[in-house]
This record gives sequence, C-alpha cells and structure tokens, in this order.
Amino acid sequence: MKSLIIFITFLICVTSFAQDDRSEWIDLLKSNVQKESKNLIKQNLELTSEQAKVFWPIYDEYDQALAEITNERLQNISEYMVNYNDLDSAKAESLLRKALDLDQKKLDVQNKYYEKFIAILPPTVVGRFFQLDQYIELLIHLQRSENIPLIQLKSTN
Amino acid sequence: MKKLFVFFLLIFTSIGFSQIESFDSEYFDEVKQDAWGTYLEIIDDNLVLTEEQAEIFLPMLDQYIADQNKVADMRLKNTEEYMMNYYDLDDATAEDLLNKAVEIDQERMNIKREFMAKMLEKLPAPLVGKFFQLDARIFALIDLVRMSSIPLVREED
Repeated sequence: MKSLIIFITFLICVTSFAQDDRSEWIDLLKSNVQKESKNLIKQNLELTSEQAKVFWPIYDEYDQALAEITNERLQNISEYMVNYNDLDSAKAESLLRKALDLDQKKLDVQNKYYEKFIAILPPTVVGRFFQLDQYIELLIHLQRSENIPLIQLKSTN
Repeated sequence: MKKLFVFFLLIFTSIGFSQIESFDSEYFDEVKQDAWGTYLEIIDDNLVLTEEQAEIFLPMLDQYIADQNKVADMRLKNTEEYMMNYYDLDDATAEDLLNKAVEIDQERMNIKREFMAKMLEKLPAPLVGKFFQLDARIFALIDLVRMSSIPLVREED
C-alpha cells in the first residue's frame, strides 16, 4: 500500500499546481491519474499470467468507460464554475440532476464490469480489484472536491 | 469542513493500528454515531437557512439520515461477515459479499435520488445543491476511512 501514499502525495502536488492553471492541471491530472491508477492496480493485484490475459483487456475497456463519464463530469463542473457567481435556480437544478445522473451512470458501468469480471475471474480477485479501484476513486473524488467551491447562497435562495 | 478532516484523521490514525483478528462491531457502531454527529454539525455550520426553509428542510434531513443509516447498517453487517471470513474466504462467500456490496451502493443512490427530488420540490435548487455537495464530501471521507480500516482480500497462497 506504500504506492497509495505516494499516489496521494502526487495528487496533493498536482492540486497545488491547480492554483496556477486549472485547464493544464485537469489534463495532467486525467492522464496521470489513469496511468497511476493502472500501476497501482498492477502492483497490488497479483494475477497469474492466465488471469492477466483476460483481466487487462476488460480493465482497459472499463477504464475507458469511466473516463468518458469523467469527461462529462468535468464538463458539468466547468459549467458550474462558469455560472458560479450568478447561479440561478434553473441552472443549479439542471447541474444537480446531471451530477446525480452521472453518479448513476458510473454505478451502472461498475455493475456492468463487475458482471464481466466475475464471469471470468475468481470472486476473491474481483473483490480485491474493486477494493483497490474504489479506494483510488475516493482519493480522486476528494481531491477534485477540494478544488470546487461550495455553492454561494444568496439571500433570495 | 476543517472539523471533518480532523475528525476523520483521528479515526484514520487509530484504525491503522486495529487488528483483523476480531471485528469490534461496538467500536464501529460508536464511530458511526460520531460520524452522524459530525455530519449534522457540518451541515449546520455550512447551510444557513431561513426559519421557513428550516421548517421544511430539517424533518427531511432527519428522514434522509434515518434511511442512510439503514444502508450504513447493511454495509456494517456485510463488512462484519467479510472480516469473520477473512482468513478463509471461499469463492461463494466472496461473490455473495460482492453482490451485497453492489446492492448497498445502489440503495444509497436510490435514497439520494428520492430525497433530492423531494427537496427540489420545496426548496431552492442552490440550497439543495449545496446540501448535496456537502453530503457527497462527507460520505466520500466516511467511505475512505471505512475502506482504510478494512484489509484487502487476501491473495491465494
């Protein structure tokens, strides 16, 4: 689990950079996080060569499906940031509903790939994978939240 | 939000030394109660409501917490079963635990969706949005602490 600590440190460093240039940070974060996540999974999930042969192609598909949701989420966040100082009720509701839909979409992708993994790998391996995957995802989620300000409530809200 | 980080940092540190041999459900129960207490404090500190909004929001919040608490209990039970089978986790138990974990995640999402819809009917969207921003951050921290306290599935010898 030492690599997880390095990964957290990495995220913190990247976040500090965010203060200077948000869009560069987002690109760097996206590419590095995907690479680092895969490395962490590799280091902590000891697969036989036979298991690795079936696991990694499905993992790459899974990672790609999640990356598409992340892109949509970043668009939603970007829309929120653009409207941040003048967020009306209609816009807030649409952003909120979109965020919830994206959460559901992510859960659907995880469930779909859970079914795929469980069909070809021992449940203990699948369990270990999803433990690691969720842990990494939570770290990313918390790090991303740190850079998103809470909604400012006006007296009319 | 600083309060939350300090609270969870303390739990995080103490859990690092916890043993796997026994699952202290009382301890986890206490942590859960403290977590809800901190949750309420953070919502209270960050969500300034008019008297009229408070009258609508607070009973909904109580019900939301009660429903999410049931989900937390389901998760605690699942974790307990995992810990009890930790050293001798067979495929059937692992798959059963994973299936339950998937159901629990979906149940949490269903509750969130239900209450978001109810709140949006009666409260301004920016207010509801801010509540769910806080809720998501607190849950992410709770999940991170929970996952850090649970060992990864053992690899087969």
